[in-house]
Amino acid sequence: MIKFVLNILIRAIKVGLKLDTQIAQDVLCLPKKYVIKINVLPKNKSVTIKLENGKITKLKHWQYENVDLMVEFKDEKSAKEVLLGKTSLSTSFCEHRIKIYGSVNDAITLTRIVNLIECYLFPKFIYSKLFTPQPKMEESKLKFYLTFLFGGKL
Amino acid sequence: MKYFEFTNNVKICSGENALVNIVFELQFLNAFKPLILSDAGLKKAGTVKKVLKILNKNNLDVSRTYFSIPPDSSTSTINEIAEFYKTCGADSIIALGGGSVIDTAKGVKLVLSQEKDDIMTLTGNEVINAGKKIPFVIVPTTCGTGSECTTVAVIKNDVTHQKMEFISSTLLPDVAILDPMVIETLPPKLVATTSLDALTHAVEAYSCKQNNPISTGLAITAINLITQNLFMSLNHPKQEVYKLNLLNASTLAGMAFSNSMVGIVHAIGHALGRYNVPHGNAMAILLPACIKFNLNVMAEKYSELLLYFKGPEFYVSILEDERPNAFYKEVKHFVEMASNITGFSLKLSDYGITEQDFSEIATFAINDGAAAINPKLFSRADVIEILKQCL
Repeated sequence: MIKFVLNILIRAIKVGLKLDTQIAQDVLCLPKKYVIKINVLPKNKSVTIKLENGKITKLKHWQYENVDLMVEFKDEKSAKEVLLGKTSLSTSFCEHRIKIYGSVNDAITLTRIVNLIECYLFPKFIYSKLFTPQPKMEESKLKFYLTFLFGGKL
Repeated sequence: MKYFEFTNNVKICSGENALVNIVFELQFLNAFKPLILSDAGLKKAGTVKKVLKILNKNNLDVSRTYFSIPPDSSTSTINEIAEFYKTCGADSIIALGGGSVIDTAKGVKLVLSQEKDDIMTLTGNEVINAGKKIPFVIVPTTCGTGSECTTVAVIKNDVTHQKMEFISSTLLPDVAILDPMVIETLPPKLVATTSLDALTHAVEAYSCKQNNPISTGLAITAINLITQNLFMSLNHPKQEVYKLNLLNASTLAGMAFSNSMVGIVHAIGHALGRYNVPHGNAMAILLPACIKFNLNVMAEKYSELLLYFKGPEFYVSILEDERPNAFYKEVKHFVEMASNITGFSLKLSDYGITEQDFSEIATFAINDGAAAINPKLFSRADVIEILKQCL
């Protein structure tokens, strides 16, 4: 279940990168050729992506050696709360439920990207409780969902 | 917040002649050959000599020293000192100084305890294990950073020039020595700006997303001590008691924000640090403008803070709806008074900042670790608006 939701998140970030210039701008803030891993303990369920030339590619475990930034949830329950919109990534960070390997500044950029993606993915009654004020989406949710479902290989 | 953690295992020795206790505290930690870290400014001011004299008199070996720590802690300085520690045969660290010296010493301790050669291999948040025991004592020489009781070190990356945050409870020292003697010659401007830094720590610790009941209590006491002692200290510079109270306030605020973290004031302040705006001055300039920015989502907290900032009589004299705004106005007035008495500027333009710098400062600010903790999300445009108000 965790792995499935993580994969949805990654596809949603790819859609966001295509449709929303704020996400594209934030991706540009990160170093070139950057490998990010999101890992969930205790069973090490994870997804790894590479940012290169403004594109996101999902990596299999044999496709990378070093990870530049790893956001690691200390337990599955905390990860589910963030991934299902019950709490925000920054609140989870505040509650010491996340460990960060690598640059904290880059993790903040990633947090901002995830915040915006959650606004696209979840209905307003969910995300309005997570963020004050709510991040502004540049595209309609309908276009986001259509691209997510029928956008092919992004 | 549904869950919180609070860490502080530092022994605090505070008051007159506190310095003398260093020898006993080091012996307790089985340490006899400390490496003493400080900077050229404190050496020139005679503070280092005074402290060494006291330690020497109490039979502590003070032959291992490093006094060339630059104003910005950097990765290369830390690696160099860690190497020096190994070759000079030291068995412990004493940091004597302000934020830069303390953060450098924390970095050195981290490298040594993890038995690494390069601090850059240890970046992150909560990813470091306890490691090897390195006895560590901090003697703060300003009344602002509170770094002697925080789990954070801000260190400049020599390659990217980025200010990086290292967050780990292993950064805490074993002992913090708060002796008013070491700050007796601190110029009034520095007393004011560093105390306003401590006030910012307390206000942000009280109001940020990570706040908790323990840090709230510490922040309130810090605010009380600062409001009651800052102007007394500036008007009666020879009376040690006021400075000691400010030192205690700084430590309390440090303990509070180490566990609550800080928000937008520090996010922008760290970015201004790249432009050589002194940290305490940046805090004084930004605090009122950032309170104004957070006002609509923090009305309740700021209303409560008015009580601790101005006392019960003033608090009840203000209508309930007007209290948050009254808090903003009182903080602004407090900062302006400190500026008028000691003569530091509250305009960013006087520190060389121009409108052309705003975009870059804003980018750094929104990517700062503190940005995630502020109770209100903020964008580049919000930061630029705040900077315009402070120009």
